[in-house]
Amino acid sequence: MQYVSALFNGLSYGMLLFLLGAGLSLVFGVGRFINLAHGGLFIIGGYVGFTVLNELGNFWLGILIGPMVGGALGLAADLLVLRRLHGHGRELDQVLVTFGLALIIADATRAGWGGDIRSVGAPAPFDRPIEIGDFSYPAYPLVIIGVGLLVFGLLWLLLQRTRVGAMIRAAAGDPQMAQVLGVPTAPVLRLTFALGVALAALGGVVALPRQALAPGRDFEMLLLALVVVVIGGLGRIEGAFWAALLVGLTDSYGKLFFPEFTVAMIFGLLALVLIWRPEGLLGRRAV
Amino acid sequence: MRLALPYSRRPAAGSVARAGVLVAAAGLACMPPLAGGYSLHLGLETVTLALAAMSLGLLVGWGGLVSLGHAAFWGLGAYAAALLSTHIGPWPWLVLPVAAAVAAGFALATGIFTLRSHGIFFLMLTLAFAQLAYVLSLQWRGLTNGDNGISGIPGLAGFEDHRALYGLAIGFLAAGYGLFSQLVRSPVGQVLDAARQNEARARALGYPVFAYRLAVYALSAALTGIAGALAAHERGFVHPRDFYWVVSGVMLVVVLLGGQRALWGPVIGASVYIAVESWASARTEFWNLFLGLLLVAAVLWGRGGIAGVAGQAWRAASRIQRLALKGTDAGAAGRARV
Repeated sequence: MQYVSALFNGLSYGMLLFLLGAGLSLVFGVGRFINLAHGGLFIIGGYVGFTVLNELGNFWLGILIGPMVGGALGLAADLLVLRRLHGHGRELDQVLVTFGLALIIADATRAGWGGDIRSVGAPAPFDRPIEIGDFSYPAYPLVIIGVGLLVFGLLWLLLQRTRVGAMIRAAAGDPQMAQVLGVPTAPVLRLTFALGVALAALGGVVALPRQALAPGRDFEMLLLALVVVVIGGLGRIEGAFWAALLVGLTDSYGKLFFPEFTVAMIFGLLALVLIWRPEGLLGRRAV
Repeated sequence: MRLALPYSRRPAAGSVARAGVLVAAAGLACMPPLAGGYSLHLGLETVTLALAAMSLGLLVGWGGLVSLGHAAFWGLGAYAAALLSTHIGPWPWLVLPVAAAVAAGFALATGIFTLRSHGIFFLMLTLAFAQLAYVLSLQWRGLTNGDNGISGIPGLAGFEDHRALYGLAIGFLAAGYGLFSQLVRSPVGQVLDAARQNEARARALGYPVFAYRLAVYALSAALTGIAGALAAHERGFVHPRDFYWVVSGVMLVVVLLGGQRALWGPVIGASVYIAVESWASARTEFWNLFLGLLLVAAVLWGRGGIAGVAGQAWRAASRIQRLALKGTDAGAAGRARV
């Protein structure tokens, strides 16, 4: 029975990582840069959800407001700072600025919400375990799995079936050519960035009942998101999805069999994938 | 008129002047630390950080290899020093070569994979391997004592007095500077620089780009390992934090502050960084907030880092001087400093 529990644990953790990795991957695909402040947006989402729950007493409102705050911050960051760093040959600058933003977020959230560990119970209908015979499993992780699948489906529809999605794909494929053909690449990038960080913030809220909030969680989640994105292939949503599930399951079964070396196993998995396929599982040849 | 060959040997006068600046700066930096106490501690932190960041700067500025994993080499050097000193003996002829060798060995083993990638991919691979080292340092408790770290590291034999250790660190910094400034002028360094600008062309000309990169990567790691070992002896303890990616980030910040294409830049960058850190962290517990703001500002407005800004000021000053001496030496005006 513990194997079945580990399966669900792994899937729900994987879905959280997907919410993070999808945004990171989207931003990389369009903007060709790695947003090191992505983990920061995750915990901002978490803290906003926590505050909404405490002040208004409704967890689901937090799921709505968290991503909105995250997206707004993303828009602001792009307009104020990142906009000036677009373009080729500025990757180092982008990495350093987003590293700076990550440090700012880490300390600003610590200043705003304190350094204590904050945890939250699962919301009302999902706060008790599901029992099938003598097997019982908490209901909330299934909600996370549902949210992850829903986001994956909606993202796929957005990218493959809408005009905006076509623009995003065009800008990711060849920004110059897309611009020549009339795609407004700068606004498309801004929109993608806002969408990506909103997804990270959504992950932060959704994760609340499963993971306690604490300083340092942002960097921890950022690294796992990077691992997911690199394993899946940068800029590929499907890659991020399968890689997130792989990492989630490695984590949950690793905890079952080798509790001491779980995180090392995740990075070992990363190293193996990269030795075998340097561009990631679903990635195209390096640009 | 000379053809402006990009890889031609630079006039020696510039490097002599820079060496002079370096010696003068080092001399000035020596004075307060020799007074001992807290300023000596800050001085040692500065010099060890500068040594590590200079090694990273070589990769970033000349190799175009932006590593976010140098914390691994720093941490390996520090832990090698800690383990050898506490289990065998704190002899410098044992500790420092082993620290360098362990770091270089890790660089060779991982560089075979990481150096096949470029740009942002290289950055993330180095980060991933460094983070693997971090996690192992936390979880391999039998060897590393886990989250408690290793404390009570004895002073380096012969350098128990931190003033002597400071002198040793300055010596390594100067030696590293000398080595690197020779290296970037050597064929290896020039091939590295050429490959940074156009790898396909450098390869097509038959240069063993990968082998040179791997060798320089290992050299950079070795010096970073020594820096970590010196820091471990100075602090007397090591902790998995030494492997944490923020350490790598700080090294990159120092390189950026100093200016990416100036070997001596990280010395200035490290001095500024440690000074600001000690000043700010004494006043606020949210010092990382200021580091972040500093970083964003440096990228947005400080192209070329402090070295770049200083260079512009220097050129402006010499231009004014030339104007003042106008007519006395017509040739001087032609000697544009680029």
